[in-house]
Amino acid sequence: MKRRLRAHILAMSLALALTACGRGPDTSEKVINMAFTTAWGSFNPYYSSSTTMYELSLYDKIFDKLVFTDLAGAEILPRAADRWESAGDGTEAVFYLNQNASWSDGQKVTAHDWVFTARLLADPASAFSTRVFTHILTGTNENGVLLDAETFGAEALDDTTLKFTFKERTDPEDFLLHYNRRFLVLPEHILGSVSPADILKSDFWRNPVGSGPCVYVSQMTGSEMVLAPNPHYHLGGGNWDKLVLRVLDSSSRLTVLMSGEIDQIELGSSISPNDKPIAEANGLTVRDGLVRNFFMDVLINENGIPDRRIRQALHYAIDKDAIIEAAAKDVADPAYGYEMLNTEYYDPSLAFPRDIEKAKALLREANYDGRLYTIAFASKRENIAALLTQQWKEAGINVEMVIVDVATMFSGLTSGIYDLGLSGHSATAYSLWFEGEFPANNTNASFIMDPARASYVDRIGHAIDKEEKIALVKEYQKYLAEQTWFIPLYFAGEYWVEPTRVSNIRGSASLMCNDNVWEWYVN
Amino acid sequence: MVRYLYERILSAMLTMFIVTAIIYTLLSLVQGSALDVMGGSGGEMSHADYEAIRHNLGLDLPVWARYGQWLRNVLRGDFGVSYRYGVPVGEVIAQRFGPSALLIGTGLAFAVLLGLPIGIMAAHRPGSLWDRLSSFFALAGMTAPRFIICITFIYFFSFKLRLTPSMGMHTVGNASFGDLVIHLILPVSIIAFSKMGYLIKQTRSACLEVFQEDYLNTARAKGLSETEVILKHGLRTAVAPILTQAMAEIPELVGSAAIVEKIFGWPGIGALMIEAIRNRDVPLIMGVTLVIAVVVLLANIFLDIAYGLLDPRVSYR
Amino acid sequence: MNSSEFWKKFRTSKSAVIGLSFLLLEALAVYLLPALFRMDPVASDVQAGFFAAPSASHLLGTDGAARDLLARTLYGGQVSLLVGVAAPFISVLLGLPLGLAAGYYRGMAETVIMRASDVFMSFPSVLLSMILLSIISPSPGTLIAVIGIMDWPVIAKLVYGNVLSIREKEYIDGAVSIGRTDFEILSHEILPGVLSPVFVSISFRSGGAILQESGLSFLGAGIRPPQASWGSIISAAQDLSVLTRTPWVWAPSGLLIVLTIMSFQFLGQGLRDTLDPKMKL
Repeated sequence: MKRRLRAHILAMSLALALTACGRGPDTSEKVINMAFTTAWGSFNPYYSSSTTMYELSLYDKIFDKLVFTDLAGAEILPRAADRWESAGDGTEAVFYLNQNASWSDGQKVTAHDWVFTARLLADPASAFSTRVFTHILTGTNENGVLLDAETFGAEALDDTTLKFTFKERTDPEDFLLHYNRRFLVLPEHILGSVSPADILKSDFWRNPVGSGPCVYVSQMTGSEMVLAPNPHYHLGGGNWDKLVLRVLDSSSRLTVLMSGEIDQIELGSSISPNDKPIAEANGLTVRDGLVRNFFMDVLINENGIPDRRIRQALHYAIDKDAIIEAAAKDVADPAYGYEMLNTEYYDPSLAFPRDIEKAKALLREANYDGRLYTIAFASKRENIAALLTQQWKEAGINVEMVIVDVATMFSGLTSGIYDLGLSGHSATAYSLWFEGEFPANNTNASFIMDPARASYVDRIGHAIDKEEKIALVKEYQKYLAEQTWFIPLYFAGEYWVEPTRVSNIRGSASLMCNDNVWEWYVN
Repeated sequence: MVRYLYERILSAMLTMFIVTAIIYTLLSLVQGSALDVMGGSGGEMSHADYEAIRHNLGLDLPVWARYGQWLRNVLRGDFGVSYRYGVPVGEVIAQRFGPSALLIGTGLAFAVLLGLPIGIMAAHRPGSLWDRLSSFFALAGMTAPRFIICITFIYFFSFKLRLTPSMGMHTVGNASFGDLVIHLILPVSIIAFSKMGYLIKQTRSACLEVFQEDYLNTARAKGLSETEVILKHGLRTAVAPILTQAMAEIPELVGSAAIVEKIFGWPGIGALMIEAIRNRDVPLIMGVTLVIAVVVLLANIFLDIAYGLLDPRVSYR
Repeated sequence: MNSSEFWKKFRTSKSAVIGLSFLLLEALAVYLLPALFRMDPVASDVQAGFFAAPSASHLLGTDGAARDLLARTLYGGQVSLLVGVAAPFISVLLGLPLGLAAGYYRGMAETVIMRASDVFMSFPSVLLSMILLSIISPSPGTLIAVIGIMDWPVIAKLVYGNVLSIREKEYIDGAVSIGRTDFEILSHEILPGVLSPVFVSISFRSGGAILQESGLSFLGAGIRPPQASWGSIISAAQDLSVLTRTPWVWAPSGLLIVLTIMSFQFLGQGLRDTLDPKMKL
């Protein structure tokens, strides 16, 4: 169609012309500026080209979620759901939804919308790239694909009551901590008429209708997005007129915060310990992170390093204090398991000091032949990787470094190109939070298939008695430490820059990919 | 003349065809296809889902078939949909083309408007302090790594002196010309500064030659003022090679502007391309490639014609 | 001109002599000093601290991984200089024969080669390099190859232009009529005339190659750690705290890049003025 070509040329010239003209500033509008160092993809929460926290932050504004989480899961607050409880024999969870929840087009949100969304995720014909959590609902197979519509574990008891039936006993709060972040409700009254196979092509994604706190206004792809408050949002709205999301280069992080051009940077306006003095010298208030829930670990491709003793040797050779000194100064603790230090699941007896001799002994035992391993990581982690390879060299293990972007690292680990990787995660208090984070499906066959491990996860999931659960979790952590399928490095807190123009921003919640924008107040 | 244009356009199209074919083939070799990127941090797609998406994106066909499909679509005006943004490529490019054109155009214009006079003056008084200073200035522009200049400029002018904003093209809610200008100043200065270096040097050497030539001395003898001599004769002959130089550097300009765009968060095509390459976003890379190739080739054709008009010594083959 | 005439004339250009001396000294320093003092650019000295200021044990301080910056800067110099000097040679390796063929044989060869040059030159080399480097993983070797390949059209066109003007001189026709082979004509009559501009061009393009390498490293497509190059060392300056509070990390490398490129410029200018001030480049 030549018309399209002409339209594009016209659009380009128009865009060129428009860039130079316009009216003056509209100072009566209250605008909040948020910056991201990575551009987002499309509005579709279930088909993104990367499942990063940045994308999740965006979806969070357009679409609604069941709850609002903060403080690494220590706080679970109502959002679309007013309250929730376990039912049946622990295999059911009932959510009582807020009666005032509405779509941005005015229609009411009902439990049917939530069921519709779950059903869509499980639909074998749907072209989405993730099914999020349907694999734990009844009536699906192990990949979350619907097997039997009759027994499908999502049901609307009435317009405002939603019930999930799980295959195993599941605590509703555990479920929320694990999946709330990625489960957003879609409108049945709009998408219900589209066939699941065609759902990706729908124009809905260009101009989405959500029940979240914001409405999409416009965007300059890959650079800027303008959102307005959703007038129908059941939790109300702040006093702002526009929320602008802008993409900036990571080198400008501090500069834009200091100049006031940006009020909040993605995931909580966190800055590195090195930046703290500069920020403070320029009049910014920097708060110490309340919770140390940023978990850093070394991923291991088990096919590349099948001998457990070599993996253990890798762990013993690491000097975690040095790494913390380089990467997170005074805001991190060394980690030896994936349970956060402030939870009752944490087991201090797992910790051990660096032991080069032990590492060497393990290597001898395993008959390590001096072969070269590769570690892949994103460029910002270069210092950590450099230290690690140095420390491994001291023990006699040869590792070479490769800088890649995050997606390539994961795909490379999966396909076996790289043996090791470096990854960061935001932990929660949920005892099995790491199970979902681990690129488990392909990287470590034994990690998935190991019956002992599966048994632990099972029993922990079923445990009702708190004491029993804690004991099991600790046992499991010991077991994981022995297997060394991954190497925990540290838990870090962050330094948050407190916004000056805007109040009520919860930085720690931002790190969990939800923002309480309906409470934000421009001073 | 028309025949010449026709030939040039035809050859330009052939060039574009070759460029896009080569890049498409290269892209198919790139490790980590968009699909792996989509599998993302969980690798949670089951094999069946993976294959389904692969088929949807047409990734299970051989390279030449995919390229052919792309070409057919392009001829119909359909540039495909970005893997990453889910938006038609044509739209994305149309949105972000303007800002780049603005940035590069203004930068180049300033480079020429400032570089020419400086170079001419230097050639006019060779060996003088002015000549030496401008040589040094030109050298600085040519040799300093761009991103260092960017970052230090942002540090001084945005951060220390609070004179200009450090990112973006405008303040939201403010679409005035003044606001645009203040956002333009820093990135344009940097682009102009880098390009000026070559221009000053080229202008200087071209004019040095010309200013020695006899016919100018004749002109002087005839009683024309110095200014007239410079303007009428010196400029006229020097402009042609300068324009050639400037135009021929457009691809390099686009490349280095990409770095400036990235650091300043300027919503242009260059930064878009860098992200697209990082994300293995094939439709977007191809779209931007095509646009850049078209722009460069058009510029070359335009230049050829302009050169012919300006310098009567050139005739068309 | 023979070599003693050459040097006599070359010496008259002060800037060229300074440029050449600086480059030689620099090359000596980056290759000899690390070996002499057994410097290790990869070892992390955690005792000394991270981003430590210059001290007796670490003359340029340490970087974010507690590695000695003097060692890294010197080793980085090895890489940057290598890329800078070798890449233009690759361009010449490709461009010289192609330019000769295009200019001498004309016809089909000319059309194809000039068309190929246009194709290469019509695309921003930075972006094309990035695409290439995402296929073949970056290393000094691949960087030299990629940067060198980007530049071959410039050499080819230069050679082509010079061959055309040499051709016009009568003695070529004379040589052909005597019956000398193409190869003899090319190597004895044409090549010498073309070599001078090529040498000068190599000098200029070396500076450009170093600049390109630093640009690619900034974009993350360049030299990979733990190897250092001046470009990758400077990319640490993207962090505001490194830029402002620990300038010893990036300033020496930055300064060296600028001085090295300037020296190549001066050298090139000097070569041109010595060999033929009217040389068309």
